Amino acid sequence: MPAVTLGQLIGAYGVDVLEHLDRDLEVPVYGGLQIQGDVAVIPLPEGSERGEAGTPVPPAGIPVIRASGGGHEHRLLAGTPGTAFWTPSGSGQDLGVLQAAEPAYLAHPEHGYLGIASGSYMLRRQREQAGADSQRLVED
Amino acid sequence: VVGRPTVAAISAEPNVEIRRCAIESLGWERFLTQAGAALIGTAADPGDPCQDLSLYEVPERLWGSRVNVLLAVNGTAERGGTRRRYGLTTPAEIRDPVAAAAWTYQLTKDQYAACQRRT
Repeated sequence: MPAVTLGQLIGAYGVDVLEHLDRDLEVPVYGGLQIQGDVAVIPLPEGSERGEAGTPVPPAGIPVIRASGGGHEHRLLAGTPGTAFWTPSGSGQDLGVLQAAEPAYLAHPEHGYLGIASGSYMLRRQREQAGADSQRLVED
Repeated sequence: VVGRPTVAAISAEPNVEIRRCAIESLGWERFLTQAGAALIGTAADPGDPCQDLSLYEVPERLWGSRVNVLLAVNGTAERGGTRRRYGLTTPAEIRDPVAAAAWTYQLTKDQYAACQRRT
């Protein structure tokens, strides 16, 4: 598969990023651990897929984290419609499980695009220690 | 405390969110220096080997509880090419910068060390 640039991905998916990010830079597609700000894309061991496939990721993508006061949106995009499925975890640090048959992408206005190879992944938020016994989720 | 951040005002602020805003207003490195935080260790960031992770011990009397601060560098450059440094509070028991970074994502140090890309 030919390498794809940031500019080509913005053109294909319509999710724009800050103008100072280099549009000519190639976005690599990896199958290992990758981190986009406050979200980690963690590969799951083979065979750990759940029985249910999850919801197909629509052409407009799915905001796995919505923009809020101090944080920006992370939007999950299927490489080709119908090839990526999303099972949300509900609450807490784990956002949900991605199952992708083709490369999928995670877009963020400040961090650009992350290329995710076909496979199964847990998407997980970042945390920090708030007090002696409490933790809080990081917003980026 | 956010408008005129000082270490004394920050340590007296009980609200974690407001405290964080005040530290960002002062700058994490200035805060750590002025607060007398002790450097525990520095390591290359596995996700971004050109950048360092530095772990500091923050005095308990200052924070109200035993906590460390992990100083990391943003994976993506800002407009103008600079990279923002930011701090994350991590458990005092974790004394290794890479293990502390791994903890923030509930990963083991070995899992985090295999990071292919951080943006």
